[in-house]
Amino acid sequence: MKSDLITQLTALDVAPQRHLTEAEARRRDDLLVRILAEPSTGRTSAARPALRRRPTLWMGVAVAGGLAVVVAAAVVVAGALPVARRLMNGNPGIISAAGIAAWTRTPSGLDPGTDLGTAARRYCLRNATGRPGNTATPVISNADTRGVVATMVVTRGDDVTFCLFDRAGTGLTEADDPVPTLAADAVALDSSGAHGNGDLSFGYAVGFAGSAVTAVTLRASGRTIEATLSGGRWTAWWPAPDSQLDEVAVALTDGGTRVVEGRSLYR
Amino acid sequence: MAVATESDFTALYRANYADLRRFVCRRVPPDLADDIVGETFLAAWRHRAKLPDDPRPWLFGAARNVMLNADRSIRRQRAVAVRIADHAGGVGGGGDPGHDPAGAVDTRIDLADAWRRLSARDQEVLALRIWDDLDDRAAATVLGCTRATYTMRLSRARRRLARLAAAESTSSPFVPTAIGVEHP
Repeated sequence: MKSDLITQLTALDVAPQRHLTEAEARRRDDLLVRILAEPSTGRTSAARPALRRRPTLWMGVAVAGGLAVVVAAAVVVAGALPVARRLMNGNPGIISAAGIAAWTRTPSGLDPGTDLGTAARRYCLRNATGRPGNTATPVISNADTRGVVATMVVTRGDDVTFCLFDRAGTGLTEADDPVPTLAADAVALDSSGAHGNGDLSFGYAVGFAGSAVTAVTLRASGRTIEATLSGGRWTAWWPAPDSQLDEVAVALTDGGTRVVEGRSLYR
Repeated sequence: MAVATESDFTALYRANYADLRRFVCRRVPPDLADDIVGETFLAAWRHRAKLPDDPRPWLFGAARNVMLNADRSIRRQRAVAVRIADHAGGVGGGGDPGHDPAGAVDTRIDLADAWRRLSARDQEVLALRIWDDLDDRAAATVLGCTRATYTMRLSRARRRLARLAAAESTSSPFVPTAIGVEHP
């Protein structure tokens, strides 16, 4: 009866499979007629029954032809910058060309007194994920810079946010998990993703490390990237079209090292 | 997919209309669904020459973008929340509790409450698998991420749902490990 959540969720579908009603079938057929009356480009003719539309969408589709870019392009064109900053995928502007160009394989600590440190902190706190109304005092960790891009982790109780911020004012935030208990020499992947297009694409990864791990180095897309490690959590980003990790090497307190194949981290 | 003629498009449209409408109805109130379905198919018509062989993920992804773009408050979430049937069977056939064993009803109440506490992004990741019936690759296409990323997000969303369901259920013996809790 309580075998697993997935089985039980299946029964809670708000739109289970069923036959269309007569009215629904009529609307379906009417819609098809109106769509086929549309030209393949350009706007709806005033003489035709028009579909309600949102022009920014079409602009995005026309520019990109690919799903990932549609919203990003549309939103930027619409001028809704706060929204564009928070898109997760395909936004070519999350990291600027200058941000990509200035990337460094070794991170530096983020100085909170600098313009970048101040702006990044403000952005990351404002866009932190988690429960609305969470009043827990935010704790910032893993704060680093690679050129003009800052990343940090904002923890408010159980709500954990990975945040990336470009000096240009763009960035992303992502909800992550609290640090779990791992074996002392273990390493694990919490989250990763790839964003942007072409020369502006980048990958990032967030993971965990055991108490005996003193450094984490990633191999991805032909690059070697030193991660920022703090409190059992490591973070990194790098210019690349994807976020696939080839391997993760850890340095241990006893002077030893350990290499984990990237593929094994994706479970 | 070679959609060269109106006939080709009509076949695609009829094959996918009901699925797309269900996909949309899971995410917005029914009175908005027709508009979003219409805009999505219009986009497909305009870009029919570039549609992939399996158009379903493309259509779902386009509909998702329409929804994200349709309302500023939704867009700010960067993910589309997914509705769940009322545990009493209200919204769309969640079952008749009068014919449900009592334990199952309790569990569904817990689960529905847990679902509503999930982030929109977790809801979206889970719904693509459970209700929209997409495999990892297709779901990743809808979300615009890599398959590996989707797989990982799915695993994490399952963990979080299990955690929330366990917290909701003080009297029911939910066993989170049944869906793969990964951490000790």
